[in-house]
Amino acid sequence: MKHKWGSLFLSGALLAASSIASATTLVKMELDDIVQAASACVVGEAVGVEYVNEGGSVATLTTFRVTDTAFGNVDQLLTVRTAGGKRQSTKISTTEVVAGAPSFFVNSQAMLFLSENSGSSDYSIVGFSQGVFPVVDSVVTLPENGAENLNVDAAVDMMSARRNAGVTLGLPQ
Amino acid sequence: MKKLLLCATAIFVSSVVNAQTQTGRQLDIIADPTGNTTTVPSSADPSQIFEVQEVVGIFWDSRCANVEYTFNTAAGANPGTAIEISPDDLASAVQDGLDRWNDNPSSYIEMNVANLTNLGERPRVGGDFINEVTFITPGGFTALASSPSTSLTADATFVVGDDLDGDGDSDVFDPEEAGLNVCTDIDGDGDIEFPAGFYRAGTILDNDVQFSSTVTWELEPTGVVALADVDAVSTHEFGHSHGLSHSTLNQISATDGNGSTMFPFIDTSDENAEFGTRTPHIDDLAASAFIYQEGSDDAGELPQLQAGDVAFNQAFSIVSGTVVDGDGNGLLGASITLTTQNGEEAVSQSYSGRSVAFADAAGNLFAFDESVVNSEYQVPVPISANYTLTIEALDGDPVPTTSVSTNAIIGGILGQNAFPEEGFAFNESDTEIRFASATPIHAGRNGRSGLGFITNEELIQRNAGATEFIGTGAIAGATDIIYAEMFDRDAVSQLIADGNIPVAGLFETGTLDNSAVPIFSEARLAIGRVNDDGTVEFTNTIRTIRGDIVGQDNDGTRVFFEGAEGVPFQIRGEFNRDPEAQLFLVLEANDLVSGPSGFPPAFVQLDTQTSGTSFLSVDGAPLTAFGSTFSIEIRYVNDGGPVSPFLLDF
Repeated sequence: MKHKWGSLFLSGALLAASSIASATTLVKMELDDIVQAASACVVGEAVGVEYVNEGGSVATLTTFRVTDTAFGNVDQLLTVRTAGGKRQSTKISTTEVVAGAPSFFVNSQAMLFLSENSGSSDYSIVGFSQGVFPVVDSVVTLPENGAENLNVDAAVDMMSARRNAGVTLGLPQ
Repeated sequence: MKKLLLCATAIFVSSVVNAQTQTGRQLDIIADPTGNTTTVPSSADPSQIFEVQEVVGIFWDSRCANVEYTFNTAAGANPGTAIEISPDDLASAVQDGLDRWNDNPSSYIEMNVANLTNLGERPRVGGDFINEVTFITPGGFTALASSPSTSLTADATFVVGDDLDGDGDSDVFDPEEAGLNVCTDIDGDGDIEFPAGFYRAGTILDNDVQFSSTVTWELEPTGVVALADVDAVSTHEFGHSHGLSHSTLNQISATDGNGSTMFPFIDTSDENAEFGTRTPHIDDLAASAFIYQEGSDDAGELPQLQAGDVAFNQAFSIVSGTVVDGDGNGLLGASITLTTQNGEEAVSQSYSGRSVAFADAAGNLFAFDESVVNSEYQVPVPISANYTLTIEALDGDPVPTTSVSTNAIIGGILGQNAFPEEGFAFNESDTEIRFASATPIHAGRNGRSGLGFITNEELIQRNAGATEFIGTGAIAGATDIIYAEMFDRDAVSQLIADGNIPVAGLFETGTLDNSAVPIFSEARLAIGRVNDDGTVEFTNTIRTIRGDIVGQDNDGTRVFFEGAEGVPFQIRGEFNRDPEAQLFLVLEANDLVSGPSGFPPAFVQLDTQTSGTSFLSVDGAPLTAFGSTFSIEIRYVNDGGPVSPFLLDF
């Protein structure tokens, strides 16, 4: 089973699912793995970014304005937490870089697969960065094997349908 | 307005040229504003003023490139279990990986675990100038391991006595007084002090490597999926500590399915893959050497040649060029791979382009079309050899932009990660019919420059939707497999009547075992028909691609149709002869040997939500309808040439 560096999921559910599926199907998080692992899938536009020091680490909190929801109950504005970011309150200006962590620009749109952070009102990206698909000119840029690129409406419909199709683990005959 | 923009960009480019040598393989940051302001025509308000913020690679200053780490002995791995690993053993495993990086004779960076110290039972602390290795991670840490680096976001001059991290203790000493111009714990208080002087934006001041405290670790790979090899993971993470980003190389050669160490996936169920990750590949070493060039003019003693060193320019030459689309727009984050001339081994890989972000008055960062500063690439390769070049997009297969760099992410935001894979030829255009043929180039002592890619425009015919499975369990233990995908004759007829020429087939291939290589024996573009019993009967072959076809792992494997201009005529002729005929793309694998997973390395990915066009044969069984759809595509190119009346008549 291939794990993404910096994004090995430790949830019992996924590991259990992997071991139940004796063929260890999850080479990496394929699209449906991401769909099933997420608590919400939205299309949003980044509208603001702030950085927080947390113990010895830095995190970036990006606020998104949600424009479409494929599934999940989310507010119109939501916050996504990612690793790394500008370090505040030091005498020099520094940034903490974490390989593989996504970053967002204020004018950028993306389809986001999100998981809720326990004890917090913010969300993490499913699969560290795997649950981010940029939206360019109202087209969601899905992976090469992801049915080509789809317009936002079609992509939202597809993700909703895939979510409703349920868990898909194991190798079909 | 345009003029102003170009002027601002020119100033910026100048500053880039005067900065350190950068490679697309570096992790990067958005530096603080340079003072340049500009309007941006493609922004929502073309009159709005933005500040320009450069995207710069991160690196260790040559004075600080002898990096000393402190291993936190407060915790080992797997505490309280029968397979607990002591801090001493973990530190030793970490050092083993560092030694392999340190053995790179053309890179002057050195990293060592210098201290084993109990720093307390707390997660790492970033930015404290203690380069820490720890097996203690905070709650909610969902990664296997990570290597956060704290880097300067602006050029800075450190003055003697400066307290950089605000801990009440000076972090800067006088190098003349000390007789030492390197970063070191000069006052013995446990953190690193810096010699006074100038440091560039991107300089790494602090790096920690943290291994998840909830992962089960092992010191020797066993192939047990739930156990992760400390050495393999550590060697990868310390590549990030060098400042390296991820590589797209997931398959070195037809006989070595392992990727380079910096490929962003690990296969914990394949001990061969874990062993492979432990040793940096030439791709990894070249990227490190490019940043930290032995024998270069970089400041300090480390870059000076010593016994055993090989000057960078004696070991590597630089192959360079640009990547643009058919309209001449520069592309960010295109992956360029150099392979030995006869395709034996992928040697080195990098990414194209330099970029900037734009900040509004509130400090919000934006990416616009104007973020593209240039589309240049530089790839270091072993000197005096012949290579072929290929490019591929960071389209998620096998690596997305978000796994690579800020520069690549900007490219993704600009929609630049959707071009097809192709080889470099000297007659590059966006409507190449023969884009398969990569022209060999020689990389001599002076390198090779001016190799400009123009990405191809392709039309895709595909029956599958999004694929959600790597393949089918029906091939477990199989030795011979045939995959066939049927393409509707009416759709094909319309495409070729519109002037589109079928130039290639694409199969999304893969293997469950990272160290295995998908090898296929034959691909065919064929004419056939579906019998009443659901089996397929081929009646003619349009093109056959024979010989070992090296499939890609979790990516598109392309086969190219020789003499593609003739393909539409043959298809039309066959369709005219048989009104029931359909077009098939077929991929065949024979004499397969299953890997550790029990599956042969010959998967074609599946969309299980649709069916009706795919056919499968396992171990000589008839080619029969399959209940899912294979991710198999025909790629067309339209060069705008006249269309024969023969093709229009259907």
